[in-house]
Amino acid sequence: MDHDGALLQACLRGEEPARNEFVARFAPVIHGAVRRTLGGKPRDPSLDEEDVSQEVFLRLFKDGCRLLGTYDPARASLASWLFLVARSTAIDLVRRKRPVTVPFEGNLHDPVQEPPKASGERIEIPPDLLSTQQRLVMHLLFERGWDVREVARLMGVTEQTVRSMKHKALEKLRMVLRKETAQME
Amino acid sequence: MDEKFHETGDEEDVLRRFRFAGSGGGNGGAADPNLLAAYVDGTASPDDREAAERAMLADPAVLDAVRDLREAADAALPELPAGLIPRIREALGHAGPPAAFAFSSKRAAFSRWKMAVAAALVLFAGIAGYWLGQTRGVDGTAEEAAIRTELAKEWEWESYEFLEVAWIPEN
Repeated sequence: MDHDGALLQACLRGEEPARNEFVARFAPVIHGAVRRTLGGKPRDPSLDEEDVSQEVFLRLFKDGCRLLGTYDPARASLASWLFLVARSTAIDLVRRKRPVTVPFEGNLHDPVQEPPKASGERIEIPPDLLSTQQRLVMHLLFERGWDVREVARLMGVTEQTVRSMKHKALEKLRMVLRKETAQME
Repeated sequence: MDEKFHETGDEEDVLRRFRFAGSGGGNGGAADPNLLAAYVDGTASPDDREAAERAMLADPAVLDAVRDLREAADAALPELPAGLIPRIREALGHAGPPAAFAFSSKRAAFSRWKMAVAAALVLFAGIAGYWLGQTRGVDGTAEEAAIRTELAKEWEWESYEFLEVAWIPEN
């Protein structure tokens, strides 16, 4: 067992020195995640980074480390897991502290706006046509407008792999379109 | 652009006809941090990788979380504000003395209890099985003797005659 693993186990056993060491060891990760998450988000001015970082630790150790106990050391690193927990805690607190808004009473005639109609009718992609990876690549490239480098980074693959997945997905989609066109003719 | 491309129009025309997001299933944002952390760490199994990608397709919030973690993994950690660590330690101290992971001890206690019950059940099943085997063995022997006696009898031709009478043609 590595040092982080031993530290975690000691925390789960309820050892106070281990908890103090855990705070010193992971405060930079948690504070970094909080700062990144709160940065640029409209929020209540009373909600500061230090308060949120503290709240993350309180939640981790609350009720006999119930949250910390859900971390699975066999699957991921503790730092990555803590980052995600800190991030979701920060988002949760921002949502809770969001100022109450007064509903706008103008434009009540059309409360639900219909989405703009596409020029051509959408075709349902056959369920097994594209792999999940191919769907994700296509979504990021064409619906989110990411570039190949960004997609590769997110998915942890090479840029060449992304290009190849895009090419294969396009081939399959063209085939579906060809069949549709042939049926219409 | 290859030749096949011209048969169906340009790339945008092809893509305008399909929708990719939200179509991969997933669990609507309730993605397990263990799953997403493993995806970014590169320790996820192929099934977990696919589950994480499905979650990203289904929920933009999951996609943002993974993207943030990737970016943070490459970036340097910010400087900690002075006094933050003692402040957190103090807050934790106020919250109460550290307690052992309750679920873990309950689970261990439950395992011990479960083991005891399982052992008792196995023992009971063994005794009951032995007892049933003994009693049914005696009955079985008697039944078996009766069947053997019946089978040892000469075949009676009348039984064929009976079958002939009982047979009803379809038409």
